Amino acid sequence: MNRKWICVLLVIFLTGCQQIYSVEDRAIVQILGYDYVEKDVLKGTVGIPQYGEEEVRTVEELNLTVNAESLKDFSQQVEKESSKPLSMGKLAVTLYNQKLAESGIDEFLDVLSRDPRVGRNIYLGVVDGEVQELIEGKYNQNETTAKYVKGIMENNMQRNFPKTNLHHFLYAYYAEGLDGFLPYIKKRNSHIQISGVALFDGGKMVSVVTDEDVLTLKLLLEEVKEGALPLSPEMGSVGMEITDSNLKYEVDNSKDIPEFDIKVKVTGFINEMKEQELESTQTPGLVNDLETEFKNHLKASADKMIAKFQEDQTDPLGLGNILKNRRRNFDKEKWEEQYPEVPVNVDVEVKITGTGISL
Amino acid sequence: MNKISGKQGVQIPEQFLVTPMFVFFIIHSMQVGVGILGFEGYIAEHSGFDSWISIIMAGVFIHLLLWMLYNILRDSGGDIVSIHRDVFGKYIGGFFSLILSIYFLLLALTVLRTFLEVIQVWIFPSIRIEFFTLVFLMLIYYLVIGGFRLVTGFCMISVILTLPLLLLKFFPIDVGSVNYLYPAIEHSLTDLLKSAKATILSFLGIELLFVFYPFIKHPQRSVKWAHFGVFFTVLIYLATALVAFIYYSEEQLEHVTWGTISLWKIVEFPFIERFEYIGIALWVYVIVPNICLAMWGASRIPKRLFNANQKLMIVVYCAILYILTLFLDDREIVEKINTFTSQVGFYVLLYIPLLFVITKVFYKVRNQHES
Repeated sequence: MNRKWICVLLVIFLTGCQQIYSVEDRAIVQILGYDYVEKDVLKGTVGIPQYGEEEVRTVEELNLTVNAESLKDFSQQVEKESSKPLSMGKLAVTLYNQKLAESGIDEFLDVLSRDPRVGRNIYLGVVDGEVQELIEGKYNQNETTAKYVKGIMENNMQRNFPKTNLHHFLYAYYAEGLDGFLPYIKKRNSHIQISGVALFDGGKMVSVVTDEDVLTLKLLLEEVKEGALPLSPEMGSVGMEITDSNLKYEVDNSKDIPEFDIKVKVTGFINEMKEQELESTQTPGLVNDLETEFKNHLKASADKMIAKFQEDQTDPLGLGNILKNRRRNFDKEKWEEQYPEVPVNVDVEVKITGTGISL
Repeated sequence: MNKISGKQGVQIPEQFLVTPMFVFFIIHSMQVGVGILGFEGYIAEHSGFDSWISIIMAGVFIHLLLWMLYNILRDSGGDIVSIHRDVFGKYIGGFFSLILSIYFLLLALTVLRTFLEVIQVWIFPSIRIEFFTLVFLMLIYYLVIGGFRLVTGFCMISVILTLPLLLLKFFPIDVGSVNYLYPAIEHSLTDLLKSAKATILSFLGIELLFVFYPFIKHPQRSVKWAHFGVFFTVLIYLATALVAFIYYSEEQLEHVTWGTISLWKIVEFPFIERFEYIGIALWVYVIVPNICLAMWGASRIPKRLFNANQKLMIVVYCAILYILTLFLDDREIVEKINTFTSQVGFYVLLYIPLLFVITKVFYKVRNQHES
């Protein structure tokens, strides 16, 4: 009996051997950004929230910026300036400036994927302009930059922006015949704005999909459950709210050069219509016209975009990966040679289910 | 009981026996250990996303071996020690039994050391292993001296407690893409077999039946439960692998050391941001019965061989485990141990068909001789 109790006591006391970290004594890094200075020199900025007294309820952000030669050097440099040990567990956003992204972010990805303390759901992004400026900027929202940027990305990926985070990017980064993409964001006065999609080839950024094509890209990548699709104002501006979309990839394997068929089916309703040349909304023919109009718009946008992908040798749609999974003896080098000339047929179908409650 | 088994005298008093149904839990918890936390990368190494076929192949192989095991044990009516004594004589047979005992110790060591590695990498990088192992082994010792029935009970708790973890597979399925997982069987049979061999480490454990067979109340009635246990393991591995293939890209898998734990990382609840900590903590319930069973098997053999005191043997084996754990202290060695155990386990499994043939011939000849 006695011995049992000794064992129990031992267990209790032995737990004290592990070092304890208290939240107050850690500098919790929430946002992290890197700028390109010159070759082999980078500038890193971290954002650490400073929680004020309970009554005041302010959240200030402490930003540390250092120049460093490598990533390892960077964390040492930051540690030198920080009064508390840095903690990466709550990291929510990592940003790279465009120049750095263009020169390759492989090293950064390696560090992120290795660290067990960093979550897989964190957001990555490419910044048009200086990352330091963006992180250090003061914004109207009463929240930290990290939360602000994270909120923007979360919100947009629910709607018009294709889903991407660290995991998605790593998935594409390692996969053969699939390239990753990241949100392309920009600071505008006292706001931050997503202005497009930065496309990568491996770890290097190669081009940008501009704002008007982003939704088309999302339609080609995943099933969209909500999103807004405005139409060019030739026949009066019309807005469509997407309620559902369907996506199907097919490969014609029989020939030497594979042929891809992408079938997109969009369902939605009209929620905005500024009549200019439109006669009347009651005409049943109008809905059909609009459907064709949207269809042509989406198809043109998709064709243009895919042609650009092929020109830039980047494959965010994962055509190579699909081919690899459906064809025996996939030859990566041969595929890369073929890719710019591979025919990709996009077939869009638009179905408008309603025009709202007023005529 | 027939004449032969009466002679061997492996009679266990009824209060130490377990009902046939528990064989399901014993077999299953002996098989599922640390392997499942990171086997996705190993099996995909040779045949990529096609390696789910290898899991089924390995599963069929294990079912076959289980059938042989039951056949051997039914013919002899005893356990491995008496079989070895009958077939190979006192000294050579005893030597073989002793090797099996050491093999079980090796299994325990692999599981314990690998799990400590997981704790070091994922939760406490600066943990003092010497203390942690000590506490852990005290727990193991406490459970094993409680006897086979206690360990069996713990196995059941472990299976039931960790079953809800399977529900978490929902998260990676939600995130992952099925578009790239198309069943194109492009790997050759050799590649698939290589993957199947790599899966074997995760399936090791059925050989423990050699030792605990006399502890089953109506041994032959447990056959279906044992097969059911193996089948359940195969199902779980299959589900785990498929989910990993949905979540990771084929090349990404090569860069992931602990596939299953990394999957837990994306599980997010409002009240907990990092689920892997809970997952790893819960996994102790899988590890403990696993090591307990191996230790019990390891210490049971010397008892049958030399009538040694089993408690003393457990103390000795725990001490050996403790010392070895302290010496094996870096990632590479852990990796090597896993490969080594996998190799040894593979040969132990191959020994089963061999023994099957030998015993078939042996008992046939003996029966003819006697009649």
